[in-house]
Amino acid sequence: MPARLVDRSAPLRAGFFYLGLGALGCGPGAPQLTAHPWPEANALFTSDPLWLGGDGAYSVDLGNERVLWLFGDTYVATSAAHRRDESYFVRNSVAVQTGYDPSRAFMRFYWGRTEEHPRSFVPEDGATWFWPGHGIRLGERALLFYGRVHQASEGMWGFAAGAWTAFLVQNPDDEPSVWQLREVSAASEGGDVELGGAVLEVGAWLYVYGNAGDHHDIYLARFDTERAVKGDLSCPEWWSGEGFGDFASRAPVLTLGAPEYSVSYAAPLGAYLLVETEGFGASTLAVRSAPAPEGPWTEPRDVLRPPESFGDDPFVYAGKAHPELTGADLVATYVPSSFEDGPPDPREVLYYPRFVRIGYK
Amino acid sequence: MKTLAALFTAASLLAAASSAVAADWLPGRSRAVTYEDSADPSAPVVSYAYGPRARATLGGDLAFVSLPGRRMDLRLGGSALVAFENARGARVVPEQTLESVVALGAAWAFPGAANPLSRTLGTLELAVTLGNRSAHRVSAFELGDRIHTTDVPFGAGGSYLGVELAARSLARSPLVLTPRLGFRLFTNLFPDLVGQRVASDVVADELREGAEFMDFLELDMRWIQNPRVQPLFGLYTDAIFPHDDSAHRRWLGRFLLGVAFPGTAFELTPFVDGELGHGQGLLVNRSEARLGAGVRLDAR
Repeated sequence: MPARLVDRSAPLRAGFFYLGLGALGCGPGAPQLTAHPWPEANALFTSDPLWLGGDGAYSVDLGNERVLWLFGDTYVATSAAHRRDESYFVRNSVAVQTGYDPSRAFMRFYWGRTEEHPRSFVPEDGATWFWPGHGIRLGERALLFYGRVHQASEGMWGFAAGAWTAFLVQNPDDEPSVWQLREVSAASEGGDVELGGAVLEVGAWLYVYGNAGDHHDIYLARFDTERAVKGDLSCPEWWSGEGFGDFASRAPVLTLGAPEYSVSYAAPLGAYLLVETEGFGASTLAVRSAPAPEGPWTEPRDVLRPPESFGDDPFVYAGKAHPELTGADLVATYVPSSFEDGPPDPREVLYYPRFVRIGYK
Repeated sequence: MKTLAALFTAASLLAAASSAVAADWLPGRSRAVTYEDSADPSAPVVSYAYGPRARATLGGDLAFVSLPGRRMDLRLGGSALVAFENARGARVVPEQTLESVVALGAAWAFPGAANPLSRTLGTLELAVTLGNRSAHRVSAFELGDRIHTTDVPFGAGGSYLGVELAARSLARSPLVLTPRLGFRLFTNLFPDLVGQRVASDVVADELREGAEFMDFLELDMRWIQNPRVQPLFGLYTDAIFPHDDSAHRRWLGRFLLGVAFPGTAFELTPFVDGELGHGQGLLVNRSEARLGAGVRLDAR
């Protein structure tokens, strides 16, 4: 029986019970998750004075106490001042953490470089840049999902997502600076679903979640793992609501989802957990649960309102869990920023991912 | 605001259509069971108090129209309150935080002789309101309180549907009792009740609602033996249930002990009050034990 994370009638029932109308206050309890900021681990993201912050913050267990971090929009210092107003903005970067406990690990950051300035780790393809998704270690290889993004209109929100893609890393045990990346053969269908939000290996299948639509409905596709490890992602099966079938039969595993999230299996709870930031702006970190990757998924339950969400004009986002990390039952991160124009946060405190420790009760 | 305007328009139309029932325009207070004895810190009254910091309220309530009947009176009206409070320091002028509460609604009162229940208990009143409470800093004041991730955001404010049941005992003895039970269902609660948590989150974020549900219970007493000097005592308690699952509920208990000096047009009530529990507005996440003294002015 999967853990129930939410009891939506609780406020009303508790309210009646508090007033002594006890008969209306009865009801079953529900397992609770607790979450607390983990400031001791945050130093991991400020360990490189040239890396001045980035969002996304997906993680992939590479094995052998190595964890790959994938970041989106990143500031790279271009002067000894190490300030964001003297930095170069690249679309993606990566880092490798050595040690599974982020409060005790060390991290090295990687990005590309041209003769003149830093560039994205996965370089742009003309006017299209690559936004990181999740990934997974598959034997001797690693598979990393990226979304193609382009600027459709002016302004910071004028970007638009294109088709998803993925890169097969041939030598993930080496330093990322010498990685050999090969773009996979992706399915030609499914262009409206941005696959790669979360990746799980379940049995002989690679389960990959993706978003579609303005309301971030989440879909689930699966690939044969043996074919995926060879870079063949041309034949996905899509969850239809009753089973897996062709693209035309697809149905969302949940509607009104989130643009970024993680999905992982929590053995102590016997459930899959989806971790996301809930809301837009003064967001909370929230968790859904399900007995199986395809659901049914519960409504999200807030586990933490980050301190930054109490600030002026906050923009807290990119919440997701990192099940390979230790130091808590489940380690998560979110990215705090603000809606102010220009390089985020003149004090340069925001825009570094923040760690959270989630506990199972 | 659109909803409030529609409600007011409907009320006006109702009142106009009911002109044959001898409607009274601007008859006075919005409730038959009035607030002058209330220990509710958000009661729409004019007051000043100090302890441990300065606070002042400017509030009032007004009926736009009443439709008196033999068995039931209907009042359409509203109330407003602006409460100033200092979060820090010993200044006697409260100028640091502000909370506003505005409500429009209808109240159905059953006078003492209306029915067997009210003949026993006294005047009964059911009120339904649409209201909004919001909390603000005044000028550039920084609250400075340490933020806890279990805090209730936005001063636990928001837009709500309020339901109140109140009674005022019959004047058979010098002791007049006024119990009041109320609920506030904030906008973000409604999608939550039908399982739409994401929609509830959007509503809470967009409307800056920190609370999902609030209930309160009070019992006020006044000794009216002397028409010019009337001791009063009130007990009030409430509970705030936050929207965030991760935030902690907030509780408050309050007493108010005073002596009312009723005049022809106004009533002056010096009082002492004590509280244990959450603060108001931006101070909702503080848990304090407070003792203070002040004075209240009510229109009669």
